[in-house]
Amino acid sequence: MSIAIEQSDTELTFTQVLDAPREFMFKVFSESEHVKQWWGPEGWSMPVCTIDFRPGGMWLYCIRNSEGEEHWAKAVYHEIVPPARIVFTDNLVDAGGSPIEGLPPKHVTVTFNDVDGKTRLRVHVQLASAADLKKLVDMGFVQHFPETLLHLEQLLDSVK
Amino acid sequence: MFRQTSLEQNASTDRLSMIFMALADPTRRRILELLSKGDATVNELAKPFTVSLPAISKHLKVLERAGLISRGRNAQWRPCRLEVEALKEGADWMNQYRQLWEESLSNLASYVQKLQAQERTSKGGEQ
Repeated sequence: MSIAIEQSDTELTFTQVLDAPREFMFKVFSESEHVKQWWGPEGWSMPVCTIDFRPGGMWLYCIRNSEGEEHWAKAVYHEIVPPARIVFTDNLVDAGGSPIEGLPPKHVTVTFNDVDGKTRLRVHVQLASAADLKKLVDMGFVQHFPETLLHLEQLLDSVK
Repeated sequence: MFRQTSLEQNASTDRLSMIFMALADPTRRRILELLSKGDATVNELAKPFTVSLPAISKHLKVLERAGLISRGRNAQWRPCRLEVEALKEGADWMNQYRQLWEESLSNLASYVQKLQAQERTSKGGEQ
C-alpha cells in the first residue's frame, strides 16, 4: 500500500488507500487507544495521548524515543464530520503546554472517502491558514514564509 | 525537531524561532545569499544596499544571535561567515513534519492490516 505525496511551498498532501471501511478508519483516527499505536515516526512511542474529540476539543500528545527524548504537541479540532472529515490545527508546544513562538501552526484536513468498501485517506497539511499566516506576518514573524523556505533551499544548494 | 534532548529542548526551540525570525526579513536573506558566495566584511555586505552601515550592522547582529553567521575576532575587519548548520536546522523543520506524517501513515497501514486480520480471525472463530 503506497502513499502518494504532493508538496508545494505551503502545502503537503498525502493520499493512501487502506483496506478497511471508512467508519473503521475514522475510529482509528479519533480514539487515543488506536492513535497511540500508529502516530509518530519510526522508533518513537507515545506515552501521552489525550483526545477530547469534539469541535474545540484538544488532542495533547507526547512522543518519546528510546533515549528518552520527548516532544510535545497540542492539536485543536475545528471540524468533526463522522465518518468523512476531521479538521484540526497542530502545533508543537513546550513541556508547559505553551505554543513555541515563531513556528506557524499546521492546519490539517483529513478526509475519508469510501471506495468499494475500502477507504481513500487524504491528509492535507497547510502550513498556516491565510489568517494565521497574516497574524504571523503582522507580528513580524515569518514574513513571506514560503519565500523564506525557497531561499533556504537555494542557499543550501549553493553552499553544498 | 526530533534531535534534541528534552533538557535542551527549550533552548533549542528558542533558537529555532530566532532562526525563523532572522529569516523573515528580505535584507537579511539577501545578506545570507551574499555570504553563501564567501566571507565578507560589513562594508562589502553593505555595498549592494541603500540602507546605512549601522542598519546593516543591526541585521548582522540578528543573524549572529540566531547562529546563522559567525564573525571573525580580527578586531578591524571582523569578516562574516555563513553557518550552514543553522540554516539546515531551519529547513529540516519542514521536512521533519513531512517525515512525521509519512512514517505515521505507513505505521497506520500496517496497524489497520493487523486489526483487520484479528477481526477476521475472531469472526471466523465464532462461526
